[in-house]
Amino acid sequence: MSESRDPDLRSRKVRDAALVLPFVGAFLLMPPFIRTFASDSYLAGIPVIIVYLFAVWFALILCAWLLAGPLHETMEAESRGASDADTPEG
Amino acid sequence: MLSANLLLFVCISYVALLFLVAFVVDRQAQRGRIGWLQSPLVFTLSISIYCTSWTFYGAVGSAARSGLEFATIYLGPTLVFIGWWWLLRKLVRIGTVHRITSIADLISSRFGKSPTLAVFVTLIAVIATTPYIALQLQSVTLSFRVISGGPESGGLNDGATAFWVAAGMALFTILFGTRNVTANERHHGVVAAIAVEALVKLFALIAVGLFAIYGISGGVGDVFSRVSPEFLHANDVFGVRWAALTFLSATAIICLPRQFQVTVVENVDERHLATASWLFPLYLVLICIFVVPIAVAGLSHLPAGSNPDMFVLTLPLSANQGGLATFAFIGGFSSATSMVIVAAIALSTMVSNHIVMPVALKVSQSGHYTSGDVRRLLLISRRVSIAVILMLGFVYFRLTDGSEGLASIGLIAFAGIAQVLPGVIGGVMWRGATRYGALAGLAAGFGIWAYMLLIPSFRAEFAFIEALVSMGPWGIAALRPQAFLGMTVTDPLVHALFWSLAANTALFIFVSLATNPTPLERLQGALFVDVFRTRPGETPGVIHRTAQSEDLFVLAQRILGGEPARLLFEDIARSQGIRSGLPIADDAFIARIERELGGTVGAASAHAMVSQVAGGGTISLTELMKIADETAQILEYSQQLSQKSEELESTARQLRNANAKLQELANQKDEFLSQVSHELRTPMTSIRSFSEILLETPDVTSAEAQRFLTIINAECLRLTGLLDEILDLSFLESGKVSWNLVPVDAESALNRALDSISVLAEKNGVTIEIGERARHVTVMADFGRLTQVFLNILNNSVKYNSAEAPRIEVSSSHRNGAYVVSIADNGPGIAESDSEKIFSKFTRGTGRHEVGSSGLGLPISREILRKFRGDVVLTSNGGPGAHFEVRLPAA
Repeated sequence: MSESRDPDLRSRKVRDAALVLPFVGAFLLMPPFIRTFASDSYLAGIPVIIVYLFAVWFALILCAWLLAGPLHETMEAESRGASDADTPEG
Repeated sequence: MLSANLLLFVCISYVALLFLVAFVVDRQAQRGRIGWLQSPLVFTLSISIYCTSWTFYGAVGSAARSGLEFATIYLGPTLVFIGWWWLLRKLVRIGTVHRITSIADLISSRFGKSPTLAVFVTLIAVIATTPYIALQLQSVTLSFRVISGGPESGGLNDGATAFWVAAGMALFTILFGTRNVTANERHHGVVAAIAVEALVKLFALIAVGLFAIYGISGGVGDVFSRVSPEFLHANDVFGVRWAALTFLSATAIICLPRQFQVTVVENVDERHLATASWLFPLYLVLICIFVVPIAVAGLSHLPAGSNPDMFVLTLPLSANQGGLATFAFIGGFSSATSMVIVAAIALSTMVSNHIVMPVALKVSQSGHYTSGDVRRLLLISRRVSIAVILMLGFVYFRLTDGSEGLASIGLIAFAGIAQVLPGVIGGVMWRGATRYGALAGLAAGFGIWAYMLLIPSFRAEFAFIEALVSMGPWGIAALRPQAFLGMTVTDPLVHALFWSLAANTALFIFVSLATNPTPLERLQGALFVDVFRTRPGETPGVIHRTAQSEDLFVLAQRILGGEPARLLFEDIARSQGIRSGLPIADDAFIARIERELGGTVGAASAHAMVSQVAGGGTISLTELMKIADETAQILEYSQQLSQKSEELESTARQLRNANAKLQELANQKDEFLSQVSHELRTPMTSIRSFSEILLETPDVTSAEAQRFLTIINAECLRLTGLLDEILDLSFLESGKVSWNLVPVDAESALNRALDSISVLAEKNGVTIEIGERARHVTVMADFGRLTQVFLNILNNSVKYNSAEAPRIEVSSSHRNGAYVVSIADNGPGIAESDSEKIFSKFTRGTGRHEVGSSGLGLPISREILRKFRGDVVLTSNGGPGAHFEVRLPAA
């Protein structure tokens, strides 16, 4: 029983994370928050705002990549479940 | 400068390569060998037609002019794709399940297969896409001129370049985009070609970017040392416009007809979205990462006044890197052509399905669709549409030649197509959205967009538009298109976006609330919103229609073509269990035909065609309610589940109770057996010992023998009595007795019992006092058994009464339909804790052991009374002694 409940819980968490991710991205990339980094300073010779923008961008892609695997599995399981459910129930 | 001829040769070779790729892949697809083509990588690359020449050249120009603002155009799609689980997944699922052919088809299909909506969205799409196609033509001609020199240096003039480019693209699109009309509008050759182009443009831009950093500037540090805060506009760029542009680009990646085409229509497996969710943003970020370095290098190394939109070409040219410049040109060419090709396919599908087909249907109505081959008509109309759309783009380009920065046209187009968004989101998320709501919202949004953005974009060409923009219509300043109601948003785009989308959304919601959906709308709404709860391929039997299979076959043949139609009908017949011949035209079959045809001609046209054959059909309300009822499906599932679990729980509870009862019974049985053996042992022991004395002692006197025999006899009688009682009790408890209940005079039964006990009472010196008596009560009982009950209780009271002056009070009453006999003694009484125990077998009250009694009297009495629907209880009367009450319902 507990063996099947844990993956369920995990896939739910992954789906919730996938739903939240674009909002996190929007928060980080939209004013007013992004203005915090719109300073004149440089980080390793690159303007801080450019470093910030692309760092957030890559971080979002990384998160999406991390979520894609489990979500893919969820979809596979769903389609398997659907085809299983198609056959019986005369 | 490169020679125009060399450039032409390179161009034509590249185009020939694309033709070859498309041709080979199409051939492979026909043979079914397209496994690699259905990979998520190809899917992602085809989505990258989002990056048009506007990106390729314009992003650098935008960066040079407004700093980081260019990034918003790619941040929006990034957010949409990393949030694919929200919307894109649902759109793709709907597209697959309902065979959606275009964004217009999606909206029309959702709102009751409305032809009006389909036409409207198609028109918006054509109007918003035409300038965009013009923009691509402009960028190709501009880049061609930049790289080969103008007409004066022997190159082609702009018009000719644009014309040949448009013609070439039309040819390619017609050849590979309209080879077939079936198979869910998937064009494998085209997808392969644009995947190649996606890679070419990415590598070209990266190559130019690397060259800008390491070839022209002195590395990363040098590039960014030239980046000033003024260049980045870091202090003013993150305002309303930043958010508005991000939103606009997010909208565009969903609603642009070409994006819908590659993301939803051409999608072969919705799981590819999982890969595209990170791979497409990665593609975008790779495109963007070199934009700033190229812009910075261009601004600092090219002469002042150079067109920043062309930095991608002019940077390598200025360093005499002809090869790199050509590669960059091919990259820009790729991004322009791939966009135009897909946009033309998407638009031609919409135009032929939603404008040409309905008209053809109307015209052929009289001839009942027998005139002309629908399939041929469809192909021809698509080919003509493609040519017309490209020609429109060309005309637009000639009309507005050179008047606009590249990016502003793109943004105007984005804002136009964004008007579809409320209908799409509302349609797939909200069941209450109606066709009228969608129409009203679209009309308002589109009108405001045209008034505030499209028309003012021609202000330089036409004086009256300039007057309109600056003074307002008829001089009414409050209605000025770029300061509506005096709103002081300086940015016309944000201004127009705000008004159009606000009016669009508000009307969509309010009109939806004010109008009622038709049954078909409700059905489609439920199917779209709950697409994840409906299993693919499962059509609810909602619409009831009748048709001749032959008619349907003829119709399918005309649209799908002979062979595919035959295969489809065979497949359906097989699933119906029919070996040969046409399938039975049941509701599910008609619905499937409509869906298959919808994959070719769009839902509205398919619905109209099938309705011609099968009649309009009646929608069964009960079925519809079942689906359309807001939460019916979820409720049904969860109810079934909770019902099941409740059943299980109650079963478990019953089992537990039964088990407890069984254990108790087993204990009682053990106890009973040990009691019985104990009770039997005492008389048996005395019988044995006395008979042994009689046997073994020869000189027993006859008087002694007489005494012993009397004892033996008494013990035998006791044994027999005990066994009788046990038998009686088990007989009662087994429930085998069929009681013959007759009206009995209860008082006379009590009198009989009192008479019988009087002898024993006198012997024991017990006084029986008769109290108040009921008169003449009839109960349903058995006379003998009832007497036995009274006798048992009286017997107990006499036997256990150890008082000095033993006394029993007997009274009876008849109140409220109940007959109650009360028998009280002044004996030692029964402890409270024993008040139930004494009714169990063989248990006597504490300290009542010594008196000869089987202990079965009370259980037997209770058992009998319960058969009479009465009972005997021990009540406390406050005083000493035991007080029994026999209760019976009076008849």
